[in-house]
Amino acid sequence: MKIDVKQDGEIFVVELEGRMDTNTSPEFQKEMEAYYSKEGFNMILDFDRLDFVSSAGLRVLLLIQKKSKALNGSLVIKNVKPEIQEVFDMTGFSDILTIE
Amino acid sequence: MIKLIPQMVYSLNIKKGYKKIENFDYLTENAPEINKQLMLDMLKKNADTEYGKRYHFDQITTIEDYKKMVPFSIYDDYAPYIERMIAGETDLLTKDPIVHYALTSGSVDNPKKIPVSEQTVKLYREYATQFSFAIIARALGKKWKRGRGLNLMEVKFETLPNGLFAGSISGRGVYSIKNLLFLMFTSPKEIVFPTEIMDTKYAHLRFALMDRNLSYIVSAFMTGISDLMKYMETNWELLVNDIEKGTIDPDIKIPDNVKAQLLTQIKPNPKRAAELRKEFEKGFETPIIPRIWPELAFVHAIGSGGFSVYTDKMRHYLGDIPIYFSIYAASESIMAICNEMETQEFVLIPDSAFYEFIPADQEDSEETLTMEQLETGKDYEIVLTNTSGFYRYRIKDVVRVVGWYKNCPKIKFVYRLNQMVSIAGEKTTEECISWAVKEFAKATDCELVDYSVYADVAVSPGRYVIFIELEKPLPKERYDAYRLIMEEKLGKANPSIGSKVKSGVLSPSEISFVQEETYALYRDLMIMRGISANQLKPVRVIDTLVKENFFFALVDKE
Repeated sequence: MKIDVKQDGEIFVVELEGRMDTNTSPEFQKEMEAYYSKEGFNMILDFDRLDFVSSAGLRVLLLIQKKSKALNGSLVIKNVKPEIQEVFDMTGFSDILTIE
Repeated sequence: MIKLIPQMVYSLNIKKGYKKIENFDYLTENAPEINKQLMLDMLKKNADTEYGKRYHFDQITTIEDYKKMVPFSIYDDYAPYIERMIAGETDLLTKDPIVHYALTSGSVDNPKKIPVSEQTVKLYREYATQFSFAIIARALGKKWKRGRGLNLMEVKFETLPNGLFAGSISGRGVYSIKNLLFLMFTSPKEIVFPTEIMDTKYAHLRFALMDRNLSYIVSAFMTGISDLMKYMETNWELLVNDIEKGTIDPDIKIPDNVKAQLLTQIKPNPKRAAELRKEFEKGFETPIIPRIWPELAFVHAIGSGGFSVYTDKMRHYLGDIPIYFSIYAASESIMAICNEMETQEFVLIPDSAFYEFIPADQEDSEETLTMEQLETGKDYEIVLTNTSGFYRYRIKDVVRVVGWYKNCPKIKFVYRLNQMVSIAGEKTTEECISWAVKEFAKATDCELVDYSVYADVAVSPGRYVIFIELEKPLPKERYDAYRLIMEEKLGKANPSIGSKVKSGVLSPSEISFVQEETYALYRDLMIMRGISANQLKPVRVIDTLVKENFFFALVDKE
């Protein structure tokens, strides 16, 4: 999975490309740690070019979401493809995450 | 001195436990009489309650009277009383003071609030702590050095309008020994009583790993310990680095004020870090626990029945270290206890609740048996009269009588009535599914992570779908062969499935392999939604739309 982080003022915009699965999720989590560990962090995950999210990927998203609550931050997911949106809907993630 | 204090605390508990064992021998010798007398005493004591007056407890002098005059009950029968109790009314169900409300793990949106009396808490303390420790001490002798343990039961309570706490029953047990906790366990109070979301796995391990002399691990369920070991396997470098430097990695989520408190209790320990690193670097192929904690003598957790897949995993980490399988209990009562190490058979506790039994093949029967009427090898639904104000309560558990200890039945949990799957009257229990899945794993030489069953009635005729997560995926091209193996194992576990598939009453069964980490994700989600980790049980039956959607969405389709 290709991860590209851009800073837009106070907001970190993370563009993701490829697959967020068992193989790529640990790396994704590691790269994101620096951003989601800060008090009041603002993160946008751009899923425009992301094709797949597995259970392992969902666990990392859940972790970032929990951190955002604990650290008064925010996590927004944008440009979600319909097949990933369906997974979010069926697993209950649509109620947990902020998806635009 | 540091070692002496825990030893004294444990010795005191064990001493009390030995007395309890002595008394238990008397109770079990006279179990049927003791149990009946308990029921009569409870009715007499509670005759003046609203429930007691409604069912004329004052006129009941025999079991026959009791069966005739008091109907079976379920939680919904008590819910209106409980609402009034929480609002402050007393003497509705019991004269005993209620000290806690146990939140059950049953439903996320509206968990049941089970009243817990002081007497019930006392029974939990005496049996789950003192009696258990004495059994372990008797079995292990000097092998158990009585040092501090790692306790994974956390206390997360909410306060009700009547000022009492609501939370898990295991948390209440820990709360009742709160003043001794920090002499008995490695995790500081900030971790055992978390007030905010934090990385508790890290926190528990951070302190337990510092203690080379860790004596044992205790958790409500084996799932908690198994998850912790997995976390340790993945994150040992981070933990060891922190132990070496006396730090808590900044990426670990622990609130700043809690972190500051914890850091006051931590010093750099390069010697221990080097020792741990050396062992972790050797890998996890051979049991890790005896290598990093050479004094660890036992694990204490509920790990039989539906938890056995996690117990099997723990054996890999434990090697020869024995397991004490603890108790058979629910929020409503502690009902039975292991009186030996490693046994997965539980002796009914005669002075904890009054037990009636409905033969499992006569589910609709109004007739009940008492313990002396039970037969070895047969299955029974338990009907409970507890010490917290529930009378002839159908707890929905089915147990099998596996033997006798003196005059008291030894049981094992078989299944929950509302977790039994039956598409065309074949009545498949958790036990059947567990056996079939484990046999499947043996036949295909794969390592199970977890599994569930789903009754798929969207197809006609209906069929069984077994959801399985494996450590490593099996080759997809052999899917048909795997499906046939599972079909055969299910047919052996429950011959009714086999014959119904053959005769076309059921469609052939299916296997759905789910993606890696699916079950861990489900647990993460439940915890996020407010279910205590102490209460999380494995998903054995996919019986709600929420579970159905979740697991179907995460089937490995690639």
